[in-house]
Amino acid sequence: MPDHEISLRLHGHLVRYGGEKTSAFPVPIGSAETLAELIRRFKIPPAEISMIVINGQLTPRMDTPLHPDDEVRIFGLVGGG
Amino acid sequence: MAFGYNGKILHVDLKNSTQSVEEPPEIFYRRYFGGRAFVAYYLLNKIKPGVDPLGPENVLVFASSVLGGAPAHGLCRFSVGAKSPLTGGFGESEAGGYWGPELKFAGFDAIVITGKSPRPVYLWVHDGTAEIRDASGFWGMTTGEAQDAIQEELGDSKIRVALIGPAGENQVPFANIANDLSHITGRTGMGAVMGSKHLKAIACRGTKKLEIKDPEAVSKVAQRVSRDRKENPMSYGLHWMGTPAAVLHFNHLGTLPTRNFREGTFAGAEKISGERMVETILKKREGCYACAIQCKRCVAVESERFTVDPRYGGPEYEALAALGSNCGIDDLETIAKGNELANKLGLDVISMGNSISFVMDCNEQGLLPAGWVDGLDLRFGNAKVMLQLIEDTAYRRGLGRHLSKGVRAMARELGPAAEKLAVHTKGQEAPLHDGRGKAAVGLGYSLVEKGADHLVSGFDILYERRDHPGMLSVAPLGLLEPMGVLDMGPKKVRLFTYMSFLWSFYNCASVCNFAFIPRSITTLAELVELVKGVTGWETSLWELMKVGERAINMARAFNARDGFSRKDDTLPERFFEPLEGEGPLKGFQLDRRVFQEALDLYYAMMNWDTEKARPTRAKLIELDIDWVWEHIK
Repeated sequence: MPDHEISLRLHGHLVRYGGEKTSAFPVPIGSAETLAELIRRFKIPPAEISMIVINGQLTPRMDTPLHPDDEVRIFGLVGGG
Repeated sequence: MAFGYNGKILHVDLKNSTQSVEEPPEIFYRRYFGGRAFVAYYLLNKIKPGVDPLGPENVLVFASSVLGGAPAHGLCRFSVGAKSPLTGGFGESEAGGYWGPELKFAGFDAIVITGKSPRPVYLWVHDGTAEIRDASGFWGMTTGEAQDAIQEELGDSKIRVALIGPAGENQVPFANIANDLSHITGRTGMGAVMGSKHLKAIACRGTKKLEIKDPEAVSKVAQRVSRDRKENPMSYGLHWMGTPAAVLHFNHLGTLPTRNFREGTFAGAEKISGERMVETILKKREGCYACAIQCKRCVAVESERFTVDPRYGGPEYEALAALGSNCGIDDLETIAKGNELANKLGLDVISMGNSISFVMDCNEQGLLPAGWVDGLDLRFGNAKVMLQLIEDTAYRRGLGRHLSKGVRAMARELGPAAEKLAVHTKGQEAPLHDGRGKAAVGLGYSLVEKGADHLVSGFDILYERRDHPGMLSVAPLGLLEPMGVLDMGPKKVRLFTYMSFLWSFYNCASVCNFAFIPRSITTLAELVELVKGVTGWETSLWELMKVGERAINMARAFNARDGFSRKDDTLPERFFEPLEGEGPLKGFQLDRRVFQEALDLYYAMMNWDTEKARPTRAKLIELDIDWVWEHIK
């Protein structure tokens, strides 16, 4: 059983990898799980990610470890309008 | 035999109530395609330099294209052009929807309108004929009321109507033209030119079947896109959240224009986001002729405060930022109401929002005379006053008398301190993209002949990463290396130049950038296949890019003839000052020297006279439009 949860929010077209939820939802994580592992778990192709924000900070490194109660936001590709 | 186009251009003289049909040869269509290039062709040939944009000498062009109305996604757009009352230069705006294809089905590729009618009229175009009809009874109506009345008078609810609201009638220089109420030719004040000619509307209906050379080839591309559109992240994103997805994205990048472009992040972004729209007021997703992507929003509000009528569509990203963050307003329903009012009264929501944020900024800086303020609470964030100001602008009353001149004219009246707060180029208010955080967009604002325009080269974020679909999609142009969003160096200028040719072709050929690369799904190879399939011409990407380049040069020549030069290729002063507030780009500003070097390089790449910033004779000959030289030599 995982010990901890993070909050995950998928933006833009990435909602399709999380059941088309527009708001944040809790995700259980294992100890020492990294951002890359989380992204693999949700089957999000890295090329479709434009930006990742953890606790309000832009996070470019995929080996970033996740911590309990982290707020993770993953943004899809946009081109403006 | 002509494939894809009718071979007929309708000319209407409103002064004498006469009309004629021009039948240009095939080479005319192949050289110019339609849209922007048709506009530039007729403006150069039919308008003398120095005419008043709101006078009877101005010429108004509605142009579909060789591809317009072909049975494939993203080929529905049309251009409206005239000398702009907002900029005094080349005016042009495009819209999607159904009107452009309907014009083709009615038997014409374009309409060229001259003169001014002595009384309000509308034009009824159907099955190869046109009729000038009395519109006195419709004058003063909102766009929705007038559309209903015209359809009722003509007895057909399937008639497509492009028309103006009270703002166009009152010649507000950023008045727009609506078709089907929610597809808007918003920019450069084309609605004011219609108003100045006493032309309320152009109604179209046709049953003509367009002859397509190779329907199977066209269908093959359309079916591929229809099949893959939900897999492709760009087209799926456009469908699911539309352009409003950009609100939170840009906020995190620090490029969400906030409080008149002072800041790049907005504390209320979440409340006006695409996500919030999906959760609350989104009623349905809509689209244009023959397009399965369905990127348009349709919203509805029924509250004690007001209702928002879904017939007028819903706010795009531009409206959310123009009436929202840039005015400090975080109330999504009120923004939706403002968007509805703008579409109903006939005002460009980008210029309208900028005019309001400008006076809010001036008010905060103590630059507004008491006579202007008129007792209003003009602080950033006042949603209620925003709605009032939109109505007052359309009817030119109260502070609206000033707002209805646009940002540049207001700033000139208020003096140098206010001019520093005026976010426009060539007199056109900037779209809601900060040129500081998107270098190619900044170049576009400066260089485009119609004034600040964001749809010129694609946004820098499309070309930031090697594996981005946008970057991958432009490889056939020889654009192979990614570059940073803030980079305004030589490689970015090269990318901007090439992409501006492609985008200009899109604007000549009814092509929607939300259906084609780099922003969406249809590839360059498929674009060429579509042109071949529709027309039967043995064409290439080279030939299509040259059409786009030709149109840019013609628009540039039109401006040059009216005295525009390098001095007009500017950027708002604000972009050379540090971004305030919080966010990743806090403190970032454009470098004047880098910007000027980019201009030098662009003019040289274009083979233009660097000092005058206009085409050389050699360039015009190379583009097979040496006749243009007579206008600018």
